[in-house]
Amino acid sequence: MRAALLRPKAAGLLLLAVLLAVFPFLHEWPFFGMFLGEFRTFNATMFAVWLLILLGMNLLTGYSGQVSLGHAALVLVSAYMTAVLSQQYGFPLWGAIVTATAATAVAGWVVIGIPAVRLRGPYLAIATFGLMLALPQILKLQALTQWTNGALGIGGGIVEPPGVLASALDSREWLYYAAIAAAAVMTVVFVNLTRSRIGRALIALRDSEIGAEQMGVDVRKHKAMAFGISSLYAGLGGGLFFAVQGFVSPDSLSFIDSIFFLVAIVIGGLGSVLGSIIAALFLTFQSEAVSELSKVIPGADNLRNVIFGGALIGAVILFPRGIAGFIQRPRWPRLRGWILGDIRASRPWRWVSRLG
Amino acid sequence: MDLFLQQLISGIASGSLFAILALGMVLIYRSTRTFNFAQGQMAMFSTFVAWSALSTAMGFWPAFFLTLLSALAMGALVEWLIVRRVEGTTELNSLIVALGLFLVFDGLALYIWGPLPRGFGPFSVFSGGATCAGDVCIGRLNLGILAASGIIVALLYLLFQRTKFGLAMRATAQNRLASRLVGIPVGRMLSTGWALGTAVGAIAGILAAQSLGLDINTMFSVLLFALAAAVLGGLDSPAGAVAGGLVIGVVKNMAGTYAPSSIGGIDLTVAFLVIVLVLMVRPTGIFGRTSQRRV
Repeated sequence: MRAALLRPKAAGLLLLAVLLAVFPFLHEWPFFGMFLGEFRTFNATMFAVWLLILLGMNLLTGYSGQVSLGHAALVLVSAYMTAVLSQQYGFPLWGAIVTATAATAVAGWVVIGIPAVRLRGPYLAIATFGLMLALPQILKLQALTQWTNGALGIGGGIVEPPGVLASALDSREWLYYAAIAAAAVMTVVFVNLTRSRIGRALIALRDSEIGAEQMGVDVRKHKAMAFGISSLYAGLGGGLFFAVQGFVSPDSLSFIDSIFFLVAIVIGGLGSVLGSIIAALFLTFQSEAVSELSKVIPGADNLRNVIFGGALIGAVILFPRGIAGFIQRPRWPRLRGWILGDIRASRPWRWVSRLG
Repeated sequence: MDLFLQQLISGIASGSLFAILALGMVLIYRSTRTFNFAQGQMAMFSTFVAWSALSTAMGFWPAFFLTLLSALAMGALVEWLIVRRVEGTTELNSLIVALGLFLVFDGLALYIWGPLPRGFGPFSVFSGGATCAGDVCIGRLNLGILAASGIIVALLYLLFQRTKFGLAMRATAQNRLASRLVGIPVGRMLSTGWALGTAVGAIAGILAAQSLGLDINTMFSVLLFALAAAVLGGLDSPAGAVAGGLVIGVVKNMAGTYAPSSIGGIDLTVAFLVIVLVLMVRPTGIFGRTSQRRV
């Protein structure tokens, strides 16, 4: 037992667990108080929410190779279900979150996953992108306003910690523990899932669908299942999103967020748990980082999308496995040989001289 | 009945706008198998180029041709510098690159021209009284959009079907290896596909901005309809894109006219439903080629 704890990996995980457990109180301590504000607890809570959502998206895109640009739509729908159930039907908040998560998972599996099996790359991306573009309008439909409250959205109350914890924790700290615990459990589930038979089947069908079929993988079942599991993560993330934000409206998440989810997991690292964690850190701090940058370089906040779009393209071309892939196996792209070599091979000057 | 005819005509006019935006996407998809999500934002960018040219007191036609040239160059450069780096890898990579381009052009336009909406047109070519036949009228702008789309489609048809260059482009779209073997400069054909698609998008942008106004979100309101048009027609069929655009335009107008106003705006919802319905029946669009699967 002692030997096991001394192994660097186990010791690291233990240290991480302790750090996460004391994190909300860290800013009150003498040393850490210098650079940690109370607001960081909220940051950490949102990190947990993004982590759940991005784990699901990484399972779908990084492991099973299907692209969904409508992932923010699933999150939004689940947030709405949580809001309606808890605010109008008297569900306790945790019950509403569990119900909404289950409903989103089933919907993702049956309503999206099964039809999506027939669709190839760009068509699936377009259909899910269409869902994301149309969803705000659907949520504002007159017929649904008695539940969705139209463009105004639904507010939630302050979440009080239950029973004995009420004296020890305030609302913000309780939400932090709930979200971080959910994210930690679901991360462990994710790691085990991707190393199981299902995870290996998904990787096989991503790399070659027909090859996987030959090896006895039921491609249709696994693709739909990937959508279902990924929707489960999105649903849980959505329920917690409502609890943490205390509010949801048709414009809480837009298609730009959906694209940013993809930016995050590609830069973080497709097909990797570490990649999802880096991606969640990226989403948590991107707006703060950009506004810090704009203090140094004026106008940088307007260039946000150029920076992230450029990073996305650069990552795909130069670091296809993202930051996580680079950490696990550092390998610099051979810039000269690859980019210049390719341009040289297409010999633009010959084209120009022939025109002249 | 007059109401119906009136809505049919204006549906066809707005549909022809969706048709040429979708046509640009199809031209690009045929060349490098990249579905260009950035089509709307690139069109918006080109329209801002036109706006800048016009604000130097240039006439409409010089500004128009300048924009067209810059769009051709922009499309070719994007293909040559960026898209070609992920050529022959996975579909996922080319989708990600397209979304990266979406963000880059969105951000560049915001940085250069700012978030405020700009006045754009209508230009003298497109302004004037409505043309009427009986009680059914069509505005000058709509007539112009219809005519412009007709001209674009005719020119592209001539290019693809009646010239040797067009034959080479069609060959490249069909079988790249065989085209290379018979001596077609494949790389140049791919760049040309992107250049043409971007230029067609620029024209769509110039036409759209006259009625929608010009700001960085201008094309979002037409993007979903163009996507629906492209899906309806099938991503690799130019004729399908045009037909799809017209159908979507008419369906959108009819839904706006005949759906009870009490349910609120439904045009985006209808476009999304069209995408879903088409894909349920034909996973590669109505005129799309069904692809073979290989290991």
